[in-house]
Amino acid sequence: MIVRISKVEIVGPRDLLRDVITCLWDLGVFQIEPELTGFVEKGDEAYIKHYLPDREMLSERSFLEDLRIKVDVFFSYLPKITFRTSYIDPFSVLDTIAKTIDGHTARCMELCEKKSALEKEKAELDRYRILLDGLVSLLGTTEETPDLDFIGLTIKEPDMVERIRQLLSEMTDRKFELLTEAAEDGSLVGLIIIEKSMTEKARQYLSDKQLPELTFPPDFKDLNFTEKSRHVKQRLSLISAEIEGISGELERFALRWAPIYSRVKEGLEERLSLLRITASAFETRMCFFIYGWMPSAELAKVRKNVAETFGGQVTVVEKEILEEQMDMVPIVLKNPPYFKPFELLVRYLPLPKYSSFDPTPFIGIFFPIFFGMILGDTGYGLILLCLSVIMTKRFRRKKELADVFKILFISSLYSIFFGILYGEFFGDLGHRLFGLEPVCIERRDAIAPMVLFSLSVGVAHVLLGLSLGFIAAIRKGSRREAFYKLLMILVSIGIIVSIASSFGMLPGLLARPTVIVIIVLTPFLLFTGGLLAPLELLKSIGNMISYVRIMAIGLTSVLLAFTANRIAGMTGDIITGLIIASLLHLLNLILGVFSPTIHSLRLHYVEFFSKFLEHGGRKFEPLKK
Amino acid sequence: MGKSRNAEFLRKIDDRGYPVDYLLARIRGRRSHLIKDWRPLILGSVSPGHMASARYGSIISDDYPEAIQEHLLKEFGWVYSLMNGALRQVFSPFFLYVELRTIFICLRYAKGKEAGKIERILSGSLLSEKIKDVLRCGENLLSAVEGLEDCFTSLSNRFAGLGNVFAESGLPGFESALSIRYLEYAMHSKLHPVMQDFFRAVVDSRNILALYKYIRLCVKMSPPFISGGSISEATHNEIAAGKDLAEISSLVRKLGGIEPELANMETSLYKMVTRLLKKAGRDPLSVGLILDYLWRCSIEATNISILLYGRDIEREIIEAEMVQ
Amino acid sequence: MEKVLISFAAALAIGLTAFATAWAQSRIGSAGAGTLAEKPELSGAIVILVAVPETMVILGFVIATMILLSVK
Repeated sequence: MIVRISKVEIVGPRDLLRDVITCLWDLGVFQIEPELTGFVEKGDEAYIKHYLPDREMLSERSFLEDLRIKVDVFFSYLPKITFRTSYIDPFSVLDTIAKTIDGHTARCMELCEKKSALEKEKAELDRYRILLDGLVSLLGTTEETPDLDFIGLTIKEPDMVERIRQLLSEMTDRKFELLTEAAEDGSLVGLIIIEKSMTEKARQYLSDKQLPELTFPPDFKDLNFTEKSRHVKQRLSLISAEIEGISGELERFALRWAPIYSRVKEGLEERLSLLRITASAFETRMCFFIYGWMPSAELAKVRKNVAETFGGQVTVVEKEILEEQMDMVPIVLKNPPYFKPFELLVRYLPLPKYSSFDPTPFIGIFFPIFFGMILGDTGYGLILLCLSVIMTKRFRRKKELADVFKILFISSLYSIFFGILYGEFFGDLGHRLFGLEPVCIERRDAIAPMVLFSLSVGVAHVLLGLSLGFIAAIRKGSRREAFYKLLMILVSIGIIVSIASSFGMLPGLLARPTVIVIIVLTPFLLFTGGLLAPLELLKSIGNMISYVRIMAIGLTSVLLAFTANRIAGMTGDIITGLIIASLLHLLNLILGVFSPTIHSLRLHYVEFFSKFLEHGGRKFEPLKK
Repeated sequence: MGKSRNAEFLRKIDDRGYPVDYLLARIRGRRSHLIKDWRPLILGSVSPGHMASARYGSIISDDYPEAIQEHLLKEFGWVYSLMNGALRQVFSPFFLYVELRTIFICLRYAKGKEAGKIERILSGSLLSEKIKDVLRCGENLLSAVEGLEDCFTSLSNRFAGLGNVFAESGLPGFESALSIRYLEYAMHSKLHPVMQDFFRAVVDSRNILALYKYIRLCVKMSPPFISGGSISEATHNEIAAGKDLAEISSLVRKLGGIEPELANMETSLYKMVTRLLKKAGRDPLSVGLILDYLWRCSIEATNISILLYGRDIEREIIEAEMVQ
Repeated sequence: MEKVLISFAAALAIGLTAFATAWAQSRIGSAGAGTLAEKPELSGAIVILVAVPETMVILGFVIATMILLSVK
């Protein structure tokens, strides 16, 4: 249901504005309206202006904003760790924090920079290590061979390896060796060993292909391989220890300071949004005004709270919602527990307008009925009932899934109910086993009565939709639209009656008067609804016929169940028969959950809601912490 | 005949069986993300991080001037990959026309001894491997030109002798000769009606622009004429002899239905083509809509390049330069 | 012979509408998938749009039953 909303004006002395907003904020039920139109009587606009912050407030705001940016910067240097929550009052430490933060940030920044420099060096050294390991393992000796040359290189894309190999083999007549190994950052470290005479050519080729050569730093020059290798390893372990040390220090730092700073950040954000909200208030020379919306049920509570806090200085006044303001009213949907799960089914639709209806109760009532009418089998219903009970318990924590199974629970109850009416228990199994007879109608044979039944459901549902549209139009105060909807209802009924009487379902005498009524009403229909009105009328009739799907899809389900039993019976063997029957029934059950859901939803979305639902409501966004 | 040969010049991608409606719906969706209002971008200084469109936000930080072209080719490649065989046939003349620019960029790289960059621009290109291999031939410009001549001559005899043009007037001459001959070739082959309208507009624009430059900038060399457009050679020569700018204005008015700005003819001509395609795009049949989208993408890319490389130029000039 | 023709008429009534629905849904479906890839927020509208042409086959079904029932 759409909750009733009150339009509210709050007035008080200027210096209390901030306290009043804080108070409203704590209550969390008031949505502030920054637009003045429709709230102030004509002629008074000249006296009421947007609340302008004074100099003190402006300087406070820029101070707080600066500080918040600084805190953000500080946090960007800290490692992501979980820390305790601090309950310190952020405003008592604000001045201290403002003084210390620069120092703390600088310290963290220095540590981070040092760490990243070390990490870079580590990555570099790691490549050398791979290269040297490769060399040592390949040569098996630590001596440098005079007629061979070694080229190290970094390969970013693994598919380059094959091409390099191919080219080198052409260039050197296969007298080369290429080793590759993956480095930590995902790229490959390659080592090419070729004859000295080919070195220049190979180097040229590599630089053409933009493959960076991996050369040792100058201080490695005079070392042989073993020394180089040892040197690299020493340096690596040294760096790793150093990085660990820095990380530890940063973490200690974070554990100590992050709780306080994060509390301060919260406080800052709160205060800043408070300051931002004051911009939506209005003022005269002496007073402030706040305009906004809140659920009518909360009005008394807010009044009481304001009276207690501010004595008689601040008043809360409810005002009448003007007709042209209808579209501005924010929408709150609130439904009793039975309908709550069905909100899931209307979530994809945009919010309804205030003068329209909440679709949830309607879908809550009719969806399970349609589902039951389509599936209509006691056996299937019982299985779904058990399934939904078990699953609702299992997924109690996951609200959405639990809602799905709650809807299934209600729908399966209706399936059982209609199953009894149709006399179905796994198709005709109930009839075969214990002589179950239909209470009302046998779906398999009675095609024409079922078509009529579905059609009448459609007529009722669509007419209900049109009537709701009529009510919504009256609520909105649009007389012409209301008249149009009324005419639509009358003409639709007229058409149905004349068709029914011409088929002999109603006395034939009715045909002539109804046709006359239709002819008389049609010009009015054109007048109120425009040239497209006949099309709209035709659509409504089409929509009613569309409900025949209830029967059609139900029929396929029955016939499948019937076939399952027949095939099982033909096997002549109890066990095979049972297996085949269960498999076919399982298939039918799966289909029997999906298609009724989809079609019953479609009947709502397309046929029913289009008759009365007006979308485009505004979301309720109260001031809240 | 000619149509099927064009496709050989483009990359082979499997027809993945996307329905045309799917492609059209995605194009309609993407079209709404194109930049519509350029004014804030013109007035606000366009710093790399300040770009409104997320589509370009990431590439602009790059100090690589062809990033925008690369991005455009990627978008074209995406559209191409979602097309079915028949649509690819229809669009192959267009894509090949666009890829001529890629060929020119590669040749310029080869001339500037920047072979490394060729691979990068080719990676996103729709050109077939055969042409890519010709362009990859490193810094040997002459062999690239000869290779291209061989390729294109297999398409039509119109392209014979391109190598001689290169020998006589260098790369700029080769570029203009190739694009002129390509346009003539396209106009004389069998095209989809929308495609034909598009190429005719392009040919007309280029003819008009050549005349305009000839008259306005007093170029000595007589303006090149591309046949197949709606301007006959006789009219072309007449205007060239008359040297009257008003004649050009009336020509643009007659062909495009817009009032040309004499100071900025190129933009006016772009607008003429854009208008034509907008009209074609309204037609629910697929070809016009797709072509309109592809053209708008290329206009967007051009505008962004203007914005980026004209950061220090006065805003009014930039605004006049941009196609809006 | 008359019965054959009547059955054939009923078959045509449902068969042709089924084809029409299938064709319309395939087009709307593929366009819907494309739209969904670009604008996921439209999922609700697309579900409704895909469902719309179903009415055709239901109408065909009604006509077919009417044809068949009129014979009996």
